Amino acid sequence: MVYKEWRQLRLKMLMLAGIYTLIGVLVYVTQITIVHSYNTPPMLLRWFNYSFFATIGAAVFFGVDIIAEEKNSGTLGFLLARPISRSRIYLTKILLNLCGLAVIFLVSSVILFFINTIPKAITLEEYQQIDGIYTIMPPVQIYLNPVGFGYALDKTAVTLILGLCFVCISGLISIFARTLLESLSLNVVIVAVLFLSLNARPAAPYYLEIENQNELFIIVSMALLTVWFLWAGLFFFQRKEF
Amino acid sequence: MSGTQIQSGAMPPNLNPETSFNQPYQGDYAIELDGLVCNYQRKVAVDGLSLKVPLGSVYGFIGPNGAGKTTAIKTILGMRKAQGGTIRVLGYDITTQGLESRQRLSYMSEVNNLYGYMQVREMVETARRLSFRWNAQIINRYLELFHLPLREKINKLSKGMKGQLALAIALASEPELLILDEPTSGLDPLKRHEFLNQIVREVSAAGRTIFFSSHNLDEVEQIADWVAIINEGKLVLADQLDNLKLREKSLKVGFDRPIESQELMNIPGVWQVLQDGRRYRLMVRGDVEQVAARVQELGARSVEVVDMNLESIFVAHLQN
Repeated sequence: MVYKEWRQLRLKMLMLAGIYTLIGVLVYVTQITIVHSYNTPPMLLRWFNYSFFATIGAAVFFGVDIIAEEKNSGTLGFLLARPISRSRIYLTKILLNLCGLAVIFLVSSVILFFINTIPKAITLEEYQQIDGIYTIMPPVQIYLNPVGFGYALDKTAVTLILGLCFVCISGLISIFARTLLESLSLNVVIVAVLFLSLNARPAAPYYLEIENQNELFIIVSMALLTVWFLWAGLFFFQRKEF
Repeated sequence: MSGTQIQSGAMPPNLNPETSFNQPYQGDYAIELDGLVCNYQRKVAVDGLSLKVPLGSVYGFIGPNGAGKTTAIKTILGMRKAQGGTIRVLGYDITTQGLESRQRLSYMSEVNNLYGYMQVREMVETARRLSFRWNAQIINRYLELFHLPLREKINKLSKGMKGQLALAIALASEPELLILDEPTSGLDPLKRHEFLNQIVREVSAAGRTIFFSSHNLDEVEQIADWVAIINEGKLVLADQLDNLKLREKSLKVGFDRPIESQELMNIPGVWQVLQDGRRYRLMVRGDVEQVAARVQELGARSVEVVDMNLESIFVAHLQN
């Protein structure tokens, strides 16, 4: 099962790592060419929260065809007729996709990390002002800052766990979607609703609050949500008729 | 055959130590359905189906489109849930021992369910890792026999070659029961003939049970020992093919005078009367000579006994 899933996943990971890194570079380059000061990023960049939505986009890309594509292509029948349990099928798929997301997230972040450290010096306060627009991995100066280290790590952890949560949500949706297109459409609707609800809040940051002291609570809550969606997907996949 | 041979693999890690796999199933029936009820899209697709597939037989499961064949097969495999009745496969109750039953069977669907983006060798490796038992010699033999290129992507293969690959994969796990759902669908007559011969030669000869669905009655007649006809989810008949043909006869009868169909239906053994002017075709079950004698007593001008092939039997039963 792992062999089959890996065979399917590796191309996806390669594509996504490339796209993820490329968008990160574009955002970074755009920022340093268009944005003249860190205090006034353009409206477009504020709305396009790279780390937030790129991660969700990647998560949806991983999770959207977990089951839907197998149903579409008829290969689900091959799997279900094998002497392996449904829970093993679903868990292997989901966990490998979660690992895939985590790997490309970290790899592209490391790449962007080094790009970001060239050549600017940025203080923690300046970084916080453009919070979210920047790439996932803050510049090395932030990590070296004793106060900034925890802050940067929290951002990374929250973004990653958000991505993992969305993989599980997408996986759950793909169980019920009849086609890949239907699965993708439902995922886009959910992301759009999330985007609108976050930005509808007055003076809302387009990201989760990190400046307050509840980072651990956010991380734990999202981890629990992730586990819940994973369990829900497993529950329904075991009972669904195909 | 291009490329290297598939290597023998170690036993897959999902070996269940509690299953005495080395002991073949010793019961009388490979599949036992008792009052099976299945729904499909809020309709009753299989309605109280009861049949028993003898171990070692080649069992043809036939019916018109939408009769419930695929739904029944998917329920046997555990892909769908039964709303009623019981299913036993190789002695296992599939509601509680579905995994164990699938360790001993292989399934081949009418829909190509191979991964198109994989190469042949990758698909074989995937199947090996997902099988309870695997015989590399068998798969290598078939890959060579069918001239399947190992490094070709599956979506580049013809439909016939995909079917051959699917069959090779199904046989490599040395199943005690092979379930085929319209296996020759889409194949040309030559490929179909070769495919069926392969199945009979390799699987049936080894004493394994084949349960296959089809609406191509010629191929069923070619290889099946037993036949079950299903229509609108209900079993119409199930019997050995030879018995069926011996038992089900038809009489072509001509009369000089008009005669009511009911008069002919009243003759014991006659279960269907088809009229064409003053000629009648009587479907007879039982002693056809006795029926012929009774028909002549009624003043028949001509009486001819006609052996029925499976298609005629099938059509007659469905029209009745």
